[in-house]
Amino acid sequence: MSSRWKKVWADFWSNKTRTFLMILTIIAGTFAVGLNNNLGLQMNRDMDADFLSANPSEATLYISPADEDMLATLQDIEGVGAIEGRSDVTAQLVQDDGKKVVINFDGIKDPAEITVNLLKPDNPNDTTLSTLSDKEVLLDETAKSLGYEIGDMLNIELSNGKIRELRLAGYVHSVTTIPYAMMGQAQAFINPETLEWMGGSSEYYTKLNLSVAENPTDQQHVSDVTQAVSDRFEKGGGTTYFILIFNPGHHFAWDVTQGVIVVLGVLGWLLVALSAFLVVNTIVSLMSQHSKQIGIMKAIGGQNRQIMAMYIVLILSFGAAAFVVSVPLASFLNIVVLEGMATWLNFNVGEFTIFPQTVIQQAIVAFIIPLLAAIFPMWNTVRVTVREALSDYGLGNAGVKQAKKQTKDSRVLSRPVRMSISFRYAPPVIRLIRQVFLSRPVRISIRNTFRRKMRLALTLSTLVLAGAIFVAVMNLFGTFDKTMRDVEKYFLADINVSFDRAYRYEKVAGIVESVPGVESIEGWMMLGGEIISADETTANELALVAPPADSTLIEPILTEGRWLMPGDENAVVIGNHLLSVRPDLKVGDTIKLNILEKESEWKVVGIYNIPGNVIPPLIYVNYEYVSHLVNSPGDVYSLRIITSEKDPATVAAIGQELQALLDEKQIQVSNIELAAEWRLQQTQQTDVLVYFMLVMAILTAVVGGLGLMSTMSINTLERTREIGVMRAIGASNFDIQKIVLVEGLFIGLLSWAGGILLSAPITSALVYGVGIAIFKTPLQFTFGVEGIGIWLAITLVLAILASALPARRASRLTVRDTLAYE
Amino acid sequence: MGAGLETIMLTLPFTKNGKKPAESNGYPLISLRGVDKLYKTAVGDFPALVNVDLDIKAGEFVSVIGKSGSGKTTLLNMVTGIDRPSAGEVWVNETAVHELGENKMARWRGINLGIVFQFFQLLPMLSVIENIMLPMDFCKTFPKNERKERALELLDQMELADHAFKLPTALSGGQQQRVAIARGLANDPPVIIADEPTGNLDSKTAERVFELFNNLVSQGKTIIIVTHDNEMAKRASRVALIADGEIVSDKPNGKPPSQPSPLGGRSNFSPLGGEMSDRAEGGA
Ligand SMILES: Nc1ncnc2c1ncn2[C@@H]1O[C@H](COP(=O)(O)OP(=O)(O)OP(=O)(O)O)[C@@H](O)[C@H]1O
Ligand SMILES: [Mg+2]
Repeated sequence: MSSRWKKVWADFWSNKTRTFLMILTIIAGTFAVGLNNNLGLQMNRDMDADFLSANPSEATLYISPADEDMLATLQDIEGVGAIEGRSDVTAQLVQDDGKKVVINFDGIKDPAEITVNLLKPDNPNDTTLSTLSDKEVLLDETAKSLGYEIGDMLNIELSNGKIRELRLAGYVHSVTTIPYAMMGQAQAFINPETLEWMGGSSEYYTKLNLSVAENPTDQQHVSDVTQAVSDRFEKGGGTTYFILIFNPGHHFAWDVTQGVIVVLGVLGWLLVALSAFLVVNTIVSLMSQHSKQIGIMKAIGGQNRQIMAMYIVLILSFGAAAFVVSVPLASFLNIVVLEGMATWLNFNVGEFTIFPQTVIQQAIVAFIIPLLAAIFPMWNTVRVTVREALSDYGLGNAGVKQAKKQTKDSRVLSRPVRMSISFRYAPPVIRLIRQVFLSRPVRISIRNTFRRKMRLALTLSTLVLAGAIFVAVMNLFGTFDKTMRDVEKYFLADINVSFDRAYRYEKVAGIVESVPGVESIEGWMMLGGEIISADETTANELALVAPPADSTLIEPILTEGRWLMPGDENAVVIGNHLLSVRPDLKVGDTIKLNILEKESEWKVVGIYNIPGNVIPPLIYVNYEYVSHLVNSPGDVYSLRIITSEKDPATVAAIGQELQALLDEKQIQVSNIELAAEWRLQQTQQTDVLVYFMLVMAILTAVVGGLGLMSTMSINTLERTREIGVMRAIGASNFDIQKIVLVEGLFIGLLSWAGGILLSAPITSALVYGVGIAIFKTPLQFTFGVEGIGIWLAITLVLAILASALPARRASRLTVRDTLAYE
Repeated sequence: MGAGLETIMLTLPFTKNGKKPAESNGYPLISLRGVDKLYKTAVGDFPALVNVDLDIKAGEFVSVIGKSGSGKTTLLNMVTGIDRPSAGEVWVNETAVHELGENKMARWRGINLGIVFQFFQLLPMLSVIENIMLPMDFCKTFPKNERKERALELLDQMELADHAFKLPTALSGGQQQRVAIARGLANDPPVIIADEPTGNLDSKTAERVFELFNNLVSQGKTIIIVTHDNEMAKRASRVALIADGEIVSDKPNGKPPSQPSPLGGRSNFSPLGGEMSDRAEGGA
């Protein structure tokens, strides 16, 4: 190796702290970009592959009973790929502790012969599915968390109160099923005979799973084909109750995943920007330390080009080390996270792949970006003339240099304390504050902070960006939280009891009231319906929700008009979801609804907004009016209950008691939902995003800390001589440590303030993007104090950690060391 | 340090490539013509050099003396091209130094000048021998496989062969200065420039360094040194006194300039100009 490259190696290897910080900095970006990129690609690939291999249905039609013959007439409708009828029963699984879980049974003849929404063995390595005998059940594998083992007996309570026992024959992987943890409902499969025994029908189908022949992701196309099927079915004498089309052609979590990938991608590249700042910072200081050496090399014949090449190789070596570490590291985490996601979102992982585009991006982040960041500061130093480079050191000017340094030091040390006179007259508190904050060492710290303006600017940029990202992520959490609370305003009850059929309010309310802990009750009505377009050609599915006019359990967010008032008759409040299919509607319009086969006219009095996906769209009407309209005044479909104690355990206990009592009175309860459980289910999806972003925010904070640490070490290294001088005139260990620590804290606080300012635009971008990606609607910008507070704490801790090491090093220097330095 | 420097004989074949040493034929090897140097300062222009004319022939050993701040370093900087004159011309070995671009200058300087600094200025992360090889690596003056051998020979000549693989910090000041001189000789330049090379050494060590310079002169090198030590200065063949940027006295030092030895320096001056690059190519 020639002496030139020996020098490069020595520069790489001799200052281990600097090399370590540098590599770590590059690793952060390379790792984040690699992980996000590959995870995104692989998740999309595997999710789609698993989903599409199940020949998924894009639409489900809930219909009046239909037989095989009727089904046959639908097969050849244009655009239909496959159509399969299923009959199902919804019941409750009674667990050993008495807790009940809603469970849906699909009747299937042979699990291996389904043509739509295929089932697979729960273990991807198995090739054969378990078969189904009488009184046996296959459970979707996401319900494994319920704790049943193969061979266990499942206690099923039918809606008529009868109990059936089924033997668990095995678990299956049903990629088209929304996981139990998110639905709060388990999916099971039984044979037609068992279905009949459970109160279902073995001859008639109650729902149709429809898979279109082409363009499965084209919502309009899917909708048209489904409508055609529905029309043909109704022409044949059947009735379509309800059509469900959710994100056709994609796994149910596809949209969320896309949102996650985009947000993580943006954060990953922000992290790269951050580490680029750090690289600039480190290289600037490295180059300033090397300017003399560069001058000498040029004096003995080194050309700019040759010297530049040496530094380019140096920076590429940092990149190479980071690349070598982060590629396997990112891959390893990729596997772990992917597996977690797959279990959680219910899809099978394919073969692990490192995508070429991932590695290319990682190479860009590890090699090109640091090079781009460093090239300007490097060139700036390399091209300096020999005289400038050696001016301090010169061919023989060492004496001048010494003198110059000395005056710099003495100026810092001997500046008079201007405030000393006013101390006398200041009140004691202010005097104390001044002594602490404006004591001479603190003033030295603050003055030191601004001595290297370029470095300060870069350090601050890094920390400000880190802080802004962190606060923005925290604000996004806050926004999610606010969104949840907004959604909850429509579902304010602590316990929601739904019935299989209508009951007299007096009757059920009387039963519920007798349970201790129940404070108040409202009886609500829910009805399916359709809104008919002005030209009477099309109809859109919707659901009417009818709270009592004086309900206190709903606090809608109105965007226009007003809410329902007592005495309102045919008044209706529509929401954003209906507007997205019927954008022409506005307050004051009269709309035609089809409720229970009867048409009626309604007046739109207000428009509400509810974030998230709601299918079908909900519209609100007065209970008093609509119950008369459908000829069942006094009947309710659900009870919304407020309890006097709000803690989840008490509410859960009351829920159990209600269940028992209603069972005893032979009331057919379809579901008892607790607010806490419901909330948990709702947050499941956004949690994916939250955890990921938390990881990114933490990485950001770490990189910010690294930046401060490298700056503080560079600063103290540079001031070795002046620390020696301070020591020589009697500064204690503590004095010196304090000067360094206070400088670190001061920079931290400055960056904290800047981070808050910058987090505003980042928050609004993040909130907008995530809102569109996940909730289909921009979320409301919220700016919480939590993020600011937590970041302040983190900043202070980081500042102390980052300056502790340099401070310790500085205070351990002896006068001899420091004066011998250089 | 066993043997005294007096016993060191410069026996290295400096003219590796078979070039004949230039005769001291009366043409100056180094020539400054009407050189002015103004430094711009906050209080106005400061004249560091005023209308300096100076001719140095091949094989001369010139010492420059003067008070601190008189312009000695500035003068050397004109010759090395480290700084540019505000007016006037600087010719070294038929090259118009004042006209060279930065990049060409670096290569030219590496080949034609050996610079020795007061504070040695060895690169701390490289071993002694690597420090000496560095100019050869930069300028590609000798074939790759010969560089190490040559560095060892130079070190041997400086009586430092035992220290070849140490880091500079493990050497004494005098030893480091000799390494620096060896580095200055690495590319076999015709001219050695040294600014206070003994300023940081005790008088006995300084004595030895001077002896070394004298031997180099007898090998045909042309040397300019700056020194504060008047006694030392007298050992040169010519002493130039500078005051306030002007050469106020310039006289031979009694004894005649050393004659280049038959094996001596490579100062291949000729009216058509010694192509300083041809050896570089020969070595590449
Ligand atoms: N960059 C500069 N800007 C302004 N003035 C300068 C600069 N460099 C040198 N000078 C001034 O020019 C004059 C000559 O400086 P020079 O370094 O040549 O002195 P010197 O003779 O080498 O002194 P010493 O013996 O102390 O090394 C001095 O007065 C110095 O202050
Ligand atoms: Mg000088």
